[in-house]
Amino acid sequence: MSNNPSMFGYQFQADTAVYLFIKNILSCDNIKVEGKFEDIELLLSSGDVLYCQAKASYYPKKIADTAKLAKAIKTLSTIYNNKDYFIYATNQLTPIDTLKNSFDDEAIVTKRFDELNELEQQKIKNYYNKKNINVGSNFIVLRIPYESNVPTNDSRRFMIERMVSLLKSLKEPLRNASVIYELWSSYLNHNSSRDKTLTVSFREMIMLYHGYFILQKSTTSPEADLIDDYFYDIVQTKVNRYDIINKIVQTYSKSSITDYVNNNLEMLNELVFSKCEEPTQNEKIAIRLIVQSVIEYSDRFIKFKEIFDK
Amino acid sequence: MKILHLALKEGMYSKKVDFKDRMQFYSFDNTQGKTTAIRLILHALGFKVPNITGINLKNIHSEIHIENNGLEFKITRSGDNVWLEDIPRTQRRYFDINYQQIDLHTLIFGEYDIYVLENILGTFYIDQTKGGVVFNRGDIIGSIHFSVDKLIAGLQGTEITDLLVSIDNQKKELKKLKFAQSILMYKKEHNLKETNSHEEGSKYDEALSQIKKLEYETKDLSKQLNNLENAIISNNSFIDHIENYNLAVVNNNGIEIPVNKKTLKGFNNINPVIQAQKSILKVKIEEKKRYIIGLKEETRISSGLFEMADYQSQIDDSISKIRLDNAILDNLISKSETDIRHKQHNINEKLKHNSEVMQFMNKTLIKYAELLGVKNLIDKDGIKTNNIQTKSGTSGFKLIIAFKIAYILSFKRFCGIKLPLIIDSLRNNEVSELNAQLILKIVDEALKDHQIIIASIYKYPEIFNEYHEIKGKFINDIEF
Repeated sequence: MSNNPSMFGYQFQADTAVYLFIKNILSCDNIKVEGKFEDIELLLSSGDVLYCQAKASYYPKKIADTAKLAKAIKTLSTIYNNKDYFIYATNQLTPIDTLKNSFDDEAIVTKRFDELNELEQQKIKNYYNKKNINVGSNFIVLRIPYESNVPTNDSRRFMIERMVSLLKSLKEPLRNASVIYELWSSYLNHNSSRDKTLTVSFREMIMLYHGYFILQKSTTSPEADLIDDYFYDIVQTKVNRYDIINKIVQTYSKSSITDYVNNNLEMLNELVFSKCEEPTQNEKIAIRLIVQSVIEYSDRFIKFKEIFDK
Repeated sequence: MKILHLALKEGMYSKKVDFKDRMQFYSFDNTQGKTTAIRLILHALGFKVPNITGINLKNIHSEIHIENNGLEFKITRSGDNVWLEDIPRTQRRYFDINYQQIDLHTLIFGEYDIYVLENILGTFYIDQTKGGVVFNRGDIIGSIHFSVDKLIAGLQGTEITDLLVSIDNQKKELKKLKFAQSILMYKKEHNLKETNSHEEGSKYDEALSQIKKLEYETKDLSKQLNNLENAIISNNSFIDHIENYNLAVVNNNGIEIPVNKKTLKGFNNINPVIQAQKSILKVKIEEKKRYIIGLKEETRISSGLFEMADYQSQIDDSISKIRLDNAILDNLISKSETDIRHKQHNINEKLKHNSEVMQFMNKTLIKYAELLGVKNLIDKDGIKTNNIQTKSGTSGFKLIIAFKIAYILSFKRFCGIKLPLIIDSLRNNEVSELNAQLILKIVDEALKDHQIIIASIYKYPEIFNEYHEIKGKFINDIEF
């Protein structure tokens, strides 16, 4: 989709925001894209803030875009303090040479200010508005391989791979990590281009994750293909109905879903279709889809709350 | 069957008409609502007639009283909704005219055969434009079709459904074959060389099909969005319902806790998840829309810059990819036509076999054609003649009258129903006054105890001693 420099920039910003969110998933309360002060702001549970300037160059390997670096550092320096975190995210290998990994120029590289060589530290200090401040290890440079001269998906492939492995390494691995990454990224990208002060809470990000699975389960499972549009609409509506979810969760005991549906068909039929006659084949499939979706959702929701409850 | 009374309403305007056995709608000139009057009668009777200039039939509320074999009915129609009551009222039934027209007509006409009911209008109604053309098969008005074969089969109970369905299917196939043949002719005329149909389609084709696919997907996603809106509405009305009861529970410490959206376990989790699903769908819709716009710009579809010349070469390009063999097509067409003829012949034989109905129809047709002076125009096939093209003008109109009398009298004899005769514009077909009087005199005698309704700009006091004059719009009274 990033077929022009401006869209490419937004995409990079959204991807960087998701990267920072995932890296800080256990401590992040709110995420802002195009925030009040910086491109991205993460409000952490500790009260600290992570400010980030994300600047992508459309031709990262050809042009050493010092102007972008200068502008980003100047912006960061205006609000610099010793408590919060300040990140300059870029897709360029230069002008900070130590970002270049001699073994793998496609790796995501993070360097604290004190890890940069003297020349690079000096370069950064030169761009600072307030010359007298003492930049510490809370200033971080982040290099993300991201190119525009290859098809978009390819240019983001490495980033996505890294994020997926991060999501999978959590205590409770996130299923369909690549889809979730894309979902978060497109959500931030889409909404930040409309809303100049977009703030998304941790809870909303996680709800997107749940919402995705409910949508998936109720609309694209192989069984959903067996029923016609009418039942498809019923499944999608009823799977989101509080009274139905509540009744299923309350009556479901750890049996298999098939057993539960067969043993409670009469009750479920009345609950979903408000009728007493024997359900048709399509109605049975719809009931099964609803139960499956509700049980899996509530299961995942409970587990997720255990890990990320805030 | 006789029409007794008609009441119509269109917004603030209304119209009430009492009917006589001989009923004429008269107006001074030809532009004043006569056809409207006739069509509104048919509409009120539950037929699907086309809209009339200046009137949307969906906005008409009608009540028509009819009498059939001693039973009186009131039919109320509003758009596609129809209610039938018997008088004095003991029962009231509802019909959706889109699906239950035949059910309604079964009760009105007291006849159960579906073929008879499907063809009933063609037996007693002569349309202003089509009336003089349709003798025994064709469209009576709008898409209402008439087939004498079906009518005879229905009246005498001959089973021809299988043959009719098979002919119908074969005609569709034949149409397809003939269409294919016309493509071949086009290719020949324009000297188009065959190209490989597996070649990669043009950029335009690809973009077009991609746009269609994306538009379909967008529509589907919007529908999903709508489902979620419905779920939110359901959840909100559920909680409203609960909160209206002002319920409360008491915990172990004796503290009263009201039951509402804040305290109902899990309720606060549900709407955020739905909102999240909505967000996902909105993002997807937006992405697809952006993509569609991009594609449209690329192909100039939306900007209307697609030149005629471009498009014509596009058509030629597409046609040249179609591979067809003329010899095979010829062979299939001729085989199909022979087969249809054969099946049609079978139907004729089945209908003719010991057919009292057909004999009666032919006898009646001949009798009245003779009285009207057009007997010489009837060929050997009589009521089932195929030779209808040449019969036009006055003699054609006389002939159609003879056909209608034959149908109506057959109905009386075999179903016991006295159908009316309704003629829209008697002298529309170059019929002279003398001839019109002759026609009406014969009709009057032939259908003595039937109702006759005509619309005309000429008066015929010998037969229609009372008439309903239309000035301006037909529905033009204001009730206070």
